[in-house]
Amino acid sequence: MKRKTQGMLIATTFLGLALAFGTAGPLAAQEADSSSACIDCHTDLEEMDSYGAASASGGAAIAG
Amino acid sequence: MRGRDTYGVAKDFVESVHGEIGCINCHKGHNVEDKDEAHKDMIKDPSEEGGGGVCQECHEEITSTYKDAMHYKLTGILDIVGTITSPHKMEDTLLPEAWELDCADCHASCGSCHVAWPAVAKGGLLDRHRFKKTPPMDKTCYACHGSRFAGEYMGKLGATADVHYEKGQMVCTDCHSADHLHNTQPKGVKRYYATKTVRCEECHPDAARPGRSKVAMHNAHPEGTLACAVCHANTYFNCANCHVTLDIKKPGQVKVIFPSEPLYTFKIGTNIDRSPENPYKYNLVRHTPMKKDSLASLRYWQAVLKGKPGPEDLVANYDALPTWNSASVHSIQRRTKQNRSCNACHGHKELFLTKADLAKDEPKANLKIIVEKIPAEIKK
Repeated sequence: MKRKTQGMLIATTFLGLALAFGTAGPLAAQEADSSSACIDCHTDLEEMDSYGAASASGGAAIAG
Repeated sequence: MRGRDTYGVAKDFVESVHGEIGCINCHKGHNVEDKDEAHKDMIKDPSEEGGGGVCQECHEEITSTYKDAMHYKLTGILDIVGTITSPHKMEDTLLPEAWELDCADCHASCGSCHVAWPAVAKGGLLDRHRFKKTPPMDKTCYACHGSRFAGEYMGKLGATADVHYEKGQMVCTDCHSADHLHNTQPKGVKRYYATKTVRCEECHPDAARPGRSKVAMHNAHPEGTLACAVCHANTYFNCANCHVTLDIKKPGQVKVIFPSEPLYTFKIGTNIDRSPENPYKYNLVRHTPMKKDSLASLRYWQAVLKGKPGPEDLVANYDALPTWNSASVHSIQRRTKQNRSCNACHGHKELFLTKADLAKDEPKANLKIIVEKIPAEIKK
């Protein structure tokens, strides 16, 4: 009986740990997912470069 | 090389620590396909607000000091403008608007060094939004400081490059550490030359200690007399005239143009800004591009934009500050024309700032900078 209780306690602890730390990955993924439309568009480098790689070609360099 | 990328984001950035946060958590906007709707309420540089913006959430230690740092606060410019326009109050002038249109572009957010080109260099991402722990010197430091410090350091201003760059292959952050850049010390200091930064003696302890040096010329000059650059810098770049002239391109839009002609000089001046970090009696001095009428056009634009002209004598306290100022010349060489021998410098009036170098309409404070007594030629 005692051994069975110990086993349950250990199992519960592991389950708790898995729930607590196992969500870190999916949470981060969800954060990125919340910007999926932005990412889809902005990682299309060919398309992005066509917008304005050449538009910012000059530098001012005035502060000394 | 593809040139400067403005919008493209690398796929590997999305999988990085910063990328996993998600675009809209920092930049706001909306996660929708329609471009206009997606960019509505978007914040281009989320690291700018308060000297740290969203970066504060994870980088509290750095942002807690950076909010007061010189690169963010631009205390030098504020102090100068406040002094020479005294006793006028900023709110009675167009200076706050000019600040927003021009000066404020110079302040650096976290992103201006670690993610994108500085705003003053027209922005754009450094490397597909990958974060750069050490900012690339040629894109970030040079973008703002290219016309003098970084430009002369890299040999792009006509004179030789600095030996630390040329032979040592050192980058700006080898001397100007993150600690110094993120945390201006001592607190409340208003000018860069009074801030705590690396000193030549730290790397050259034997060479640069007058009285205890192997170099006879070092021993000949008492400690605290000459800044190292006085003997070890080459000719350097100055701005001759005003650089704040306003030009209008479209109604309601104002642009700053730069009419200065380049001026190459080498001038030893009296150091009136002596402090523990800048203790020398003599230093090299560089001309600052400021004239009494440099801000005159603001009066006109104040009349156009606000219906009432600004103060007639906006730069009322022009005489208070010199236009020849302590310079941190970055064209250091071991051997220079002035350190070839004692008499390569002694007796050479042209190396020193004298009354003859001052233009008639320059501020009276310049008289404190000139060297009255030129060291005489040493006779054997």
